Amino acid sequence: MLRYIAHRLLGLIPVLIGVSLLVFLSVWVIPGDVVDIMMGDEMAQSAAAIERLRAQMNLDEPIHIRYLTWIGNVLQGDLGVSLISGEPVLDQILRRAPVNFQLMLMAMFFIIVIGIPLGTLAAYKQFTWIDNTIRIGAIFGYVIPNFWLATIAVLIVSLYFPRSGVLHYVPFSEDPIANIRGLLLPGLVLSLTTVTYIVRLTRATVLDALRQDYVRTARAKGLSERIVMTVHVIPNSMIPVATVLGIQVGVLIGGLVLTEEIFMLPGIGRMILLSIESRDFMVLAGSILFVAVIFVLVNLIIDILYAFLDPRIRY
Amino acid sequence: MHDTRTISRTDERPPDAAGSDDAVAETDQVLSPTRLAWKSFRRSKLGLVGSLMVLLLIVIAIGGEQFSPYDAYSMDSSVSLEPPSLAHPAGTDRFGRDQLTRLMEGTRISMLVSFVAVVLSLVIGIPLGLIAGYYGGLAGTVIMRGVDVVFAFPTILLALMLVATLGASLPNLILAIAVIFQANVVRIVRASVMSVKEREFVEAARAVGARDSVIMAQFILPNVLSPVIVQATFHLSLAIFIEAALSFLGLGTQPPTPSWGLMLNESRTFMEFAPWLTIFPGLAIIFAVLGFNLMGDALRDAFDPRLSQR
Amino acid sequence: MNRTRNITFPSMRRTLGGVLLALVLPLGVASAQERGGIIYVASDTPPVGLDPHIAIAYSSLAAYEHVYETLFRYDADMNLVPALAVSVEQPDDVTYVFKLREGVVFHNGEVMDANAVKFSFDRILDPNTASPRGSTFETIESVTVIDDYTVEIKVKEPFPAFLTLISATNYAAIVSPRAVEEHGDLQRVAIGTGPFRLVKYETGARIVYERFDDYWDEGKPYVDGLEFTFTRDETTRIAALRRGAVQIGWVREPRLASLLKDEPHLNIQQAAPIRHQRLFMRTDQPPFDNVLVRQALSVATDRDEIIKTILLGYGTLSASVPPGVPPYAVPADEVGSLPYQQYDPERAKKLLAEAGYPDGFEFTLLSSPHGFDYITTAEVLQQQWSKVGIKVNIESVDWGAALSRWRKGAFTAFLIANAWAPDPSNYVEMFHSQSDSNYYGHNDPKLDELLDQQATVVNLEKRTQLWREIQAYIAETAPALYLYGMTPRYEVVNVAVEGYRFMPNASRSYLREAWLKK
Repeated sequence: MLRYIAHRLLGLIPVLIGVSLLVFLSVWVIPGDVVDIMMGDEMAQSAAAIERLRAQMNLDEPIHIRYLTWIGNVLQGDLGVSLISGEPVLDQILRRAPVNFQLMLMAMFFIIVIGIPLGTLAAYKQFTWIDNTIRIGAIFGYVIPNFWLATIAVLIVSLYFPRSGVLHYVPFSEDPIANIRGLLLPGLVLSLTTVTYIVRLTRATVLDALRQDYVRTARAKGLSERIVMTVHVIPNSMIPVATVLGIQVGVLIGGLVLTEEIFMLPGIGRMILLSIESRDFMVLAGSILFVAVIFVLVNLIIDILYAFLDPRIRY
Repeated sequence: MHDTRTISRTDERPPDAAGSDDAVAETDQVLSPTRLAWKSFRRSKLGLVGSLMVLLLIVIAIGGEQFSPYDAYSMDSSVSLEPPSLAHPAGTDRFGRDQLTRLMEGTRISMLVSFVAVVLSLVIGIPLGLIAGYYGGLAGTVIMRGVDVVFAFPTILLALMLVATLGASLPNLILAIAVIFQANVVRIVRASVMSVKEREFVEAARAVGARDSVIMAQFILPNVLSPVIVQATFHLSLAIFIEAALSFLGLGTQPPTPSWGLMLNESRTFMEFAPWLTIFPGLAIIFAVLGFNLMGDALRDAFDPRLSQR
Repeated sequence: MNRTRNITFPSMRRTLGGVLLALVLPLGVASAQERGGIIYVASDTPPVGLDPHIAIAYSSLAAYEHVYETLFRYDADMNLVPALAVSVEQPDDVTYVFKLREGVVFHNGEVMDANAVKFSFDRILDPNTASPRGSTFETIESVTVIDDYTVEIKVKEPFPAFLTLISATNYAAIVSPRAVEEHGDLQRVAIGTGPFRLVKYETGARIVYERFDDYWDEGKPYVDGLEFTFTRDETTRIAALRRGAVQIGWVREPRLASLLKDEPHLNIQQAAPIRHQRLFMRTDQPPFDNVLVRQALSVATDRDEIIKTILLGYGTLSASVPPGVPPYAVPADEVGSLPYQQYDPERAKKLLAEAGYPDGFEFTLLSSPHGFDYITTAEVLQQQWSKVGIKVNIESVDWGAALSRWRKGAFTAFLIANAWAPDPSNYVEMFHSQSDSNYYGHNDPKLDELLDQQATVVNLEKRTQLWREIQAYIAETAPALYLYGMTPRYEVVNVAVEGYRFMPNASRSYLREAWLKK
């Protein structure tokens, strides 16, 4: 097991080098730069002054020099400062990350309290109308784009409940209750795709467990259905569900950009979009790298846990 | 969905504790697996429905505006923001353009993006996967590290970054989607190749001195294709989703091209005054994604009969 | 002092009175101002830097205009009124002597005096600052401190736009020398003499201002602070305005403003039509190096149709100086009688044939979906021009890429609306063959001569006359096509806010006069 972990950790190094290169190069070849944006559509400006401004911001250095400087600083934990505001990129990320973290927790909460019970119910009532309704619902839930659902949710709330406060984000430190209220809807929308996936998965694993010999034995012994389900079926069918839940953390990270944009939440996703728009390349490179590293680490932890749980995987 | 990882990971090791490697191994028993799968696919009612939906989309994409009395681009300020009516079943936008006609035009964009991107991903991914799986070595390592880098990003984020880099436009969007998908294709192809290449019939062919290219074309490729086809079908729906999502963010298809995501983006300004502009493009996306997904589900069940019993 | 009256920026009331007065609350009937409270403002684009000498974009100006002040400033009718200076005298055409206001302090406690003024102008002119305004003010010969509260500025030749220009906060803000010394540049801090202090700037998300208690204009501002949030999405701003989460927020699209008119607790004010939509061409490359082609394009354009379809009627015709810049601008109702402004496809075909393109030609039009009316206007043009055999391919790129290509001259034709500028010359000077911002390769000796001439004419009437001539000449030679003029923004204001006026130039500096009704 330790060898496996070491092997995976070593494997990370080339990936992270590749990731940092890809992020940095992509970001810096985006057409247009922050000076273009700073000058906006102002007509009167001096081309010479603009070039000097570029030089002042070190935008005219060769790209490999800029990459090496950047990656050197990154390795020391310094993601640089915003080209626009001078605010350290890391400060900005740390200010915004709690929003994302909360949102993920919220989404996970919905996934667990909606997905697993519905899936179990569908399996238990297989081939009844309950099962069919849940399955069809799951298919639709799976294909509805969550950004569209989010837009519709915003529409409905702003038309019928404009003063309910569910569309108004408040930092947790200012008002915890209003904060949670403001994250309910985004969390629910963000979780939807995963909920439907977990419903289908839970249904399949529970069905699997129901067919196992030990369940038959338990039933033959005359145990009540409730005990059969809670003691034998559900615990045994949850291991694969738990692993997939882990994998879904990564999926949720990907869904954040759109969710934040629609609900106007001040998280890292909007930071990325804003910095693309304003060509604040330090912020953009830093925030994408941050998300990618988190994503890679989450996946690694899931893989290790999986290897731990599933004896067939050995390296 | 909405992230290639869901699909790929479950394909690699489905949570019901049956690796797809075994699945591939099982499908080429006795009779031609492809024919068996086809039989099973035809029996699936949902698969049929899905295929019909996709067919309808293709017809609309090809026929396009011919089905409509309006032009998707010409503006008429006298009917700005009209709610759905007989004359305009899906209403009009702020410039008085008929939304149904624009949705039909958008179908063309969605179909174009998804099919071209998927074909491109196969063209890149299959050879790379074959090389990585069959030869391994340095080339294989390099390929797989590249794939790992692609997998180090959430799909939407990578697409967003690539499109921003290349410049937001339809061809660049297609390219970005293809780059992301090919990583998935490479993984699947490689896994299948590795499981097939040690089998007796390949060993036998090698023993009688068949060239690598012949072995690959005759023995390995056919066995690799079924999981790839299933994956490609899911990619088709995922491509529609990515196109819509990026266009929605303003980083995909550029106006004046009426793509569904772009129409959603433009609808936001008037959302409260003209909700039909928000509702219909979403329904179009759902329709297309559902069609491809039903088709994909049926295909997967057909190629892997054990799953369909559930 | 009296000389100032002659060169004062003329009132807009003459041309816009009806529209503006109907829209705003009359200032005179103010009941006693109430104090306290915070005004929440919804804005669209976050500032891109805060240094008033470097970040000259409108989004930045909108953020630091509450913090920095200038020697003179505009009142709500765009007349120049004293601010950090109490008066100006002009002993001759090239000398300005400013008497400064005493008892003004910066937010860091430093006293605003002649040294600070000289420091600010020197900083703009210093090449190391890399201020884009350096070239604007290159005719400044010297800035001299006479005594603690008197500054003399000499220009090399008569500079009629001088006072107008230095009154704009993104041209010549007076900055604190100590702040520059402490921070190196001012991109991330804002330390001025203005009514509000900047207390928090969360990049891209939020700006918080606090009332500056030592503000020189005693008693002002009336509110305790301002809080700006940034959302590009107009719907979100409107939703926030409707439920009262913000008291002030602007929308850009006329159709949207028209839908909000009926909300009982919201008032709508609007800026003057200072924004115009323009099509630039590379006039040094075929096909647009031929003036006949440009003229053909101009008469092949049905401007009324564009105004009707894209603006749904909420716009006017515009010459090369937008109609919201009186008295220089050709009034909107007279633009139609300038040369080559009337829609006439037959004439366009004739001109094309004469130019050697009897079957038309094809070109690529670059633009960006930055505003609702960029690509859509391009689409209407595409349709209109197809009728005379000209095929247009629209290339749409995002804003940053568009700006970059614009400045590199990497386009054949480029569609872009303008930002506000204080002087008519700012709208047209890029066509001067010597201009730094001539990205179009335009070279017309006669236009150069006219532009040189207007730059030194001090007499308002003569200068106006000259400007009418320039606009007619530009209409005729068409270095760019002017499609329409419109207001850049509609300010939606909650009825609880009193005393506030949205400026004709879309400035929110009157927040210093606003108070909240309890």
